[in-house]
Amino acid sequence: MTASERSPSEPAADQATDLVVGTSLWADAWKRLRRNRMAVASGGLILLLAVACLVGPPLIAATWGYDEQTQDLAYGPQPPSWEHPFGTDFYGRDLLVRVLSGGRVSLTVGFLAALVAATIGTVYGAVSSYAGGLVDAVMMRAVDVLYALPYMFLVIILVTILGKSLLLVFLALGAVGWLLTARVVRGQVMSLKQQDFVLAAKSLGTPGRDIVFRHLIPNTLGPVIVTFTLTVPSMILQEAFLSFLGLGVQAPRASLGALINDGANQMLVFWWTLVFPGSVMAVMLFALNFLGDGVRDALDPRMRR
Amino acid sequence: MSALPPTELSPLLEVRDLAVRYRLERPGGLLSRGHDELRAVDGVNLVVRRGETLGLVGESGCGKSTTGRAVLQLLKPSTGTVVFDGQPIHDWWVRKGRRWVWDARLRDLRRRMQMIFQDPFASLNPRMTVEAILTEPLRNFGLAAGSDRRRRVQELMATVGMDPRFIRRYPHEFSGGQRQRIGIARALALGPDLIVADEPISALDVSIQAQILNLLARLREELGLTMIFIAHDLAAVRHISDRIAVMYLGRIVEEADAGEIVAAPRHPYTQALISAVPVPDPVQEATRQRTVLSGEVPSPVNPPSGCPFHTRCPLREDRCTRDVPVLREIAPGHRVACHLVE
Amino acid sequence: MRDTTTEPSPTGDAAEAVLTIRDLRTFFQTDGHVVKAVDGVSFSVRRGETLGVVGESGSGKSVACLSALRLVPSPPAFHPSGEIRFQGRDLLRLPEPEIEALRGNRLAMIFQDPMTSLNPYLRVARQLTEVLEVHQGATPAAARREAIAMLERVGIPDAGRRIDQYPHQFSGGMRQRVMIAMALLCQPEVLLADEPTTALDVTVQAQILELIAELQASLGTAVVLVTHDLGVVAGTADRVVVMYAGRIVEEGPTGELFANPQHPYTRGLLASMPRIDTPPTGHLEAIAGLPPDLGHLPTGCAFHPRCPLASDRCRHEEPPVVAISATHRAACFEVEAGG
Repeated sequence: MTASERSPSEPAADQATDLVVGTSLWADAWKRLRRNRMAVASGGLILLLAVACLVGPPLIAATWGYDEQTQDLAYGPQPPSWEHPFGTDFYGRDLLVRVLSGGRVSLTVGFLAALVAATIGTVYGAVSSYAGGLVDAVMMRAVDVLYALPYMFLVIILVTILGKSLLLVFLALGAVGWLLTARVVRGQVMSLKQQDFVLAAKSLGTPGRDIVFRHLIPNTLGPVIVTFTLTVPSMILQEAFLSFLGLGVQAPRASLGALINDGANQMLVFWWTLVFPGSVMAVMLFALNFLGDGVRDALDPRMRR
Repeated sequence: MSALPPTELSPLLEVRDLAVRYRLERPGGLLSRGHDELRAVDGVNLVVRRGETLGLVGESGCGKSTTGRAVLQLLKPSTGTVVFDGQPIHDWWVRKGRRWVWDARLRDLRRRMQMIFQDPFASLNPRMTVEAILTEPLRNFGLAAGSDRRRRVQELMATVGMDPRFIRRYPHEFSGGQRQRIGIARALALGPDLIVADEPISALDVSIQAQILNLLARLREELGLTMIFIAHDLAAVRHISDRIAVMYLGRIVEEADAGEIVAAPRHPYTQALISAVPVPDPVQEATRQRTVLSGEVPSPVNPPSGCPFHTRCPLREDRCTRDVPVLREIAPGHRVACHLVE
Repeated sequence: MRDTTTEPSPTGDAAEAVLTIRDLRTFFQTDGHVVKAVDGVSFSVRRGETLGVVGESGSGKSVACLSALRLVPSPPAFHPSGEIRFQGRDLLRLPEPEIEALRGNRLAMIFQDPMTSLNPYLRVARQLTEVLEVHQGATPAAARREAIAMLERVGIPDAGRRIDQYPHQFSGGMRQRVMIAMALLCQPEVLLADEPTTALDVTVQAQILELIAELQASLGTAVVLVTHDLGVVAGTADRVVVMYAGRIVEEGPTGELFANPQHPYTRGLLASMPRIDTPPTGHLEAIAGLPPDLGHLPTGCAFHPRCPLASDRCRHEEPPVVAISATHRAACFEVEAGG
C-alpha cells in the first residue's frame, strides 16, 4: 500500500504550472561574487588574457604574416618599437606573439591540470571518507606516501618515461596535484557524513553511490572550487619549472615559463625578453589569486543563514 | 527465528534486549593503549503496538536517540533484536547456503520505518530543492514515475501544510518550522507504518512547537501511524504519547501509561524529573513540592555499580549500590526498575 | 491614566531602579536595509528583583541585554535613540574604558553556552582571579581565596582542586556554575542572564535556577532573566516583559500576567504550551503563521498577521500601550484600559 492511497488532503496538481523557483546556494554565492569588485576585475582580466592568447596569434599571422616561430636572424634582438611592441628575441622572433601563444600554453596546462587534480582528488577523498575504516586508512596512507615522495621528482620521472608532450605534462601535474584536494575533500566529508541529512538519505534507502555523488560531493564543492582556483596558478608555476628543466614545452614552441627562462639568461643585455613575459605571468597569477580569494569569500559558510 | 504471521493484535515493533556499545580508544603510548567501553544503550526491551505512540524521555546522554536509531538500523546494535511486524530485522546481507545474498525483502521492511530529525537545518541537504529532497525516496524504490512523481511531491507538501508551489525552492529559503514540515513530508514519502521522531520540536520556537505537535497528531490520526516520540520535554511527550518510557543511563527505569506516569510516578528519577519540569503558572510554582536532585548524570563510560541512579537517588539503600534492579511490572502496564518499589 | 508611552516601569519610583532602559533602539545595517532588532524598548529592574524577559528567537530579547552592556558590535549595529541608566550614567554614551570598568564588575552577564564565554586555554583559576585583580585590585592570594569560596558557594565540590582545571574538564552544568561564580565574584548590582539554562537538562536547570535565586537573595543582585520558556519565568521572576519583533507587547507582575494575560500573543503562547499539570486536550491552540522576518516587518502591529483578533486598524496603525492596571500594560488595540 502506498501512502498516496491514504493521503488526507487532495493533491494540488492544478497548481503545478505556477511553481515558485528558489535561489540555490550557488546562485547566492554567484551574487556575492559579482558584488566583489576585485574578483570581478580579476575574472575579467583572466578572460581578456585568455581571449587575447587564443585570438592574438592567428590574427597577427593573418595581418603581418608571422607567428611565434618565424625567425629573422638578420634582424636579431630589438627593443620594443611600434612594429614589435614587446620587442624581438635573439632569433628575431616577435615577442608579443610568443608571449601570447606561450600564455595559451600556460593557461591550458594550468586549468587542465587543476581540473584533473580536482576531479581525482574529489572522488578519491569522498570515497575514502565515506567508506571509512580500513578502506579509508589504506587510501589515506597511500596519499601520505605520495606526499612524502619528492613531488617534482615524480613528475620528472613520469615525463621522462612517458615522453615529452604537452598532454603528458598536464596529466603528470594533475595526477600528482590531486593529493591536496583529496585531503580537503576527505576532511569535509568526514564532518558532512555525520550530518542528519546523510543519515536521512540512508534511512530512505538511498544507495551509497548516490549518497556520495548527490549528497556528499555537491556539499564539498565550495572548498574544491577554492582549491581549484588556487591550484591553477601553482600548476602554471610548476609547468614553468618543468620548462626551465627542459622537460616542458619544447622549443621552438613557447610557454610563459620557457620565455621567462630564456629572458632570465639575457636580462642584463636584452631586458625586454624578461620583463614582458614576466609581467604577463605576474598579472595572470595575481588575477587568479584574487579570483580564488573572491570565490572563497563568496562561498564562505559564515555568510549563509 | 521464524517469522510470525502478522495479526492486528501482534505488536508492530518489538525490541528485545537491545544494547549499543562503543569502543573508545584510550589515549596513551603505543604500549599502554587500551580501550573503554561506552554503554549508550544497555539492555532495552520495548513493545510498540499498532497505532500507538510511545514516548521516550530522558536527559541528554540517556540513550534515547541511540535507541531510536538502533531501532531503525541506522546504527548497528551490539546485541539484541528488533522485530518489526513479526519479522526480525537483521543485516541486509543474509547467508543463503554458501553465499551472501542481498535481502531485498528486508530493505522493503525498513522502508516501512522512517525518521524525523531534531535539527531542521542539518537534516535537509542544502544543495537540493524541496522537490529533489522529496523525490529521492520515491526514486530509490521506483515509486511514482514521470509526472506522477511531481504530483506525489506536491501532495506530500499539501499533507504537511505547505504550499505545493514551493517545491522548487531550497531549504535555506524556509524557516525552521517549515523545514521541519519538509522533513516530515520526506518521512511520509514512502508511506511508512512506524515513525521515529527524534526531538522533532526542541529546535523550534515555542509558538511553532505547538503547530508541529498538532501536525504530528493529525497525521498519526489520518494515516494510522505508529510513533516513537523521543524528547527531553516531558510536557510535550505527555501531550502526544499513549505510553511513556523513561530512560536513564541507557536503561529504561520506568514505563507506564502517559497519564499514570505523570500523575503517579514510582521511580525516584521519574519523580524528580517530573517535579523539575517548569509549569507556566506562578501560583503552582510557588507551592509545588520539588525534588531537586544533587549532582549530574554519571558518565556512561564508567556507569555506577548496581542501580545506575543510585549516585543521585535521595532514597538510596545499600543494595542499590550492589544489585542492578530489574524492570518489573508493579501494576498492569506499569513497569519500574527500582528495589524500593513494591 | 498615566502616561504610558516611554516611561519605564510604572511601578515604584525610578530612584529604586538599579538599571533603567528607556526607549532603546538597536538597529542593524545589513545589505542595504535596516533590521530593527530592538525598537523602542523600556524597562527597569530594581535591587533584589528578578525581571523575566520572554520572547522567541528574533524577538530582540538577547540583543536588548547585549546592548545594555554595549556588547553588540557596532557597526553593523547602531543606536538611533535610547538611554540605559545605571548609577546615574547613560551606558550608551559612556566612553569605552569606563564601560569596560563596569562590565563584569558592576554589571555581569551569563550566556546560554558557557563554553563560548570561558577561555578554553586558561585554567578556571586564572579566569576567576583576573576579574578580581583587574576590577578590585585584589592581591593574587586574596583573589584565589575568594574565587575558591565563590566556587564552593555555587556548589562545585572540591573547589580547591577543581579551580586549577580547564573549562573542558567540567560538565555542562558545572561550567554554568563556574560562569555564575565568575559573574557574581565582584558582587554586581545587575546580573543579565541570557537563556542560562537552555542548554542544560531539566534536573540541572532546576539546580541552576535555585542557585541563582539563592545568591540573589543573599547578595541583593537585580537579575534580568532572558528566556523563551514561560515555565522558567513563572517559577523565578517577580515581573515579566513579553517581547515580540523587537517590541514589548506586554508587561506586568508575574502573578497578574499569568492569571490575566491580555495581549493575544501572550495568551497564544500560554495556550500553545503543552502542560504537565493539566490533562492533555488532544489539540493545542497553536499560534498560526511564522515568526516575523525582522528585515521585512509587517505594517501596523507586527503581530497582526498571526493574530486571531486582528482588525483593519491593526494592519495600519501601531497599537498604543494600554495600562490594564497600575502595574500591568499591553500594546494592543483590543485591550481595555483599567486600573
